[in-house]
Amino acid sequence: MSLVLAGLFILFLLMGLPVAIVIGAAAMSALNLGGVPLMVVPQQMFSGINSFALVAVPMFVLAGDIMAQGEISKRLVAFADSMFGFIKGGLSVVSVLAGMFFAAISGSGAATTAAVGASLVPELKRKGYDPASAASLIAASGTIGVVIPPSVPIIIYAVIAQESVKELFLSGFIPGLAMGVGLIAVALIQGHRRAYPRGTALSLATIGRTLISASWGLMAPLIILGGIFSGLFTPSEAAVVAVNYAVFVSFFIYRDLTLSGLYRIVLRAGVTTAVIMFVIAASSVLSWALASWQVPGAIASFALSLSGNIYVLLILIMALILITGVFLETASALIILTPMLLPLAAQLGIDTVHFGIIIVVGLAIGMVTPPVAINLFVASTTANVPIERIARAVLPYLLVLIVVYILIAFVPLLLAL
Amino acid sequence: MLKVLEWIDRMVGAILGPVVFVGMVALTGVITLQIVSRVAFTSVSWTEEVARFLLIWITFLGATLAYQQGRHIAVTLLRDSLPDRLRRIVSGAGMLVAIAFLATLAVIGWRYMGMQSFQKSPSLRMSMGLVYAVMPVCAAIMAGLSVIDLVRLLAGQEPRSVAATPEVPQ
Repeated sequence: MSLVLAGLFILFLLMGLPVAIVIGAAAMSALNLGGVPLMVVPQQMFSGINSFALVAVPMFVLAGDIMAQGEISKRLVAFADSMFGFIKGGLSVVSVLAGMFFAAISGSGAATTAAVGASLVPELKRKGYDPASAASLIAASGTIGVVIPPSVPIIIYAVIAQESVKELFLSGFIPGLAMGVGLIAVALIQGHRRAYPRGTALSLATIGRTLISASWGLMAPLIILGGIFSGLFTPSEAAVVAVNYAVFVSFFIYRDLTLSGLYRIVLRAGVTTAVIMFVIAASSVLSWALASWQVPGAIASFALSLSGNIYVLLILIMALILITGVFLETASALIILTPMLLPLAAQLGIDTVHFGIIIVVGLAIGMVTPPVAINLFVASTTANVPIERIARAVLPYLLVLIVVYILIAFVPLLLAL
Repeated sequence: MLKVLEWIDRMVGAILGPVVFVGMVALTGVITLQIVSRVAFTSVSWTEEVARFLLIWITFLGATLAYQQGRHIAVTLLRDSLPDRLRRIVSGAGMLVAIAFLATLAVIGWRYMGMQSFQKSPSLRMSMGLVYAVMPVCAAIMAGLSVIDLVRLLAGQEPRSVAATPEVPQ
């Protein structure tokens, strides 16, 4: 029956049906053929999304969208520029750094890419940076958006794996920083080779001025993350605090948000969320079916029969995650892969929190690998550069992200020895 | 005929937009109330339950709106690379699959709602049937939208384009 399920899944997917319908229709058909009463379908769909932790998904999407559109992101970029603009090719460093700042506010890769891209691309073009390469770097930095907390994929993983969102958030910091450092290193080498210009001269006065000007934006991560880690708010509550804060700052401090603008942003965030949540609902049926046919266990024993070596198996798992991320959008891939791979990870003795980081970082890298590469699409639209050129220019950044990915996966295991 | 169907299609979008907006605002408001009441007074007990139910409604209503706007995530690469005639056949077959799934979902969702309607939610004492009603309603609307798509396809028009990526945040 699981073969029927897999066959229908691939068939429907290739027909170009929406992923949620693909999953739901494949699972429902297989359950029906297997003689399972279909009442399990609505039951699982509701229980999959009837979760207070998932409330954080629409709220972090909304907060990120509000903060991406206006002054908040521009001022964060100006602050990063005042610190690192003086280096040769400093604006590249600024792209990555601004991406990391924004990652601490927003939970999505696309919002991070859009925020940094909208504020930086005109400047990058004016200073004579190669547009395709600059846009691809912004897209690559956008992947950090879902690794440094808050992060929508991490919340989804936490709900599926029944792990603490807080703990997973905490484990996202160092991997996110490592990805940033790797990207900055490559950007510096390229800046040197292409003889990119220096930007803003280093001066304490400018740093101080831009710091004050960016302080409303810089305070956002302090409130969001400080609130979560101090135990003042649950992650879902912190997400709502972030929304209120973003609305307050955009409406009353910077006054760059209109009511009709807010309506559009809220509606878009609602639809974006519903798309993800509908996939989660449909996948709950799929996971239930797979679990009742004991597929995850079978996958685990099959993998263990290939090799008993944890390092070999982890490399295989990572390759599977990366390949899935190439063809599927992050949330869908996460929702499908997590329940199938968790038992295997447990048997290998990989900590559930660490495995969450492995799966999220791997799928984040998928945001810059065509054909399904949300960050490249966003960067291509904001920079007005054809996607094919950005896809070629992203290669060095993609390589360094994969190197960092291997380090993120293996260093904690080696340290634990 | 096609004009009427297109009008229905547009109306679905025009009605659902404000509904989803209100849902999102209500979700923000309810949790804001939860935080404020916990910090300032005694905590209100029903906010978490309302938030979960709102999330369920936003999911189904928003998914229906996304369906109308062609915003669901899909892997269209292979289908779009097919020659025109074959592409139309594959699209049509896909619509039939979608209609069959959504119509079934509407029917079993309706039965499920009936089964659960005597159950009351823990803190609000609200009928769970009300919460679960959103599934058959939305599945039926989405099935209807797919039928419109199919009619359009048979009439030789271009199918609703399903965006490979969500709209770019501006």
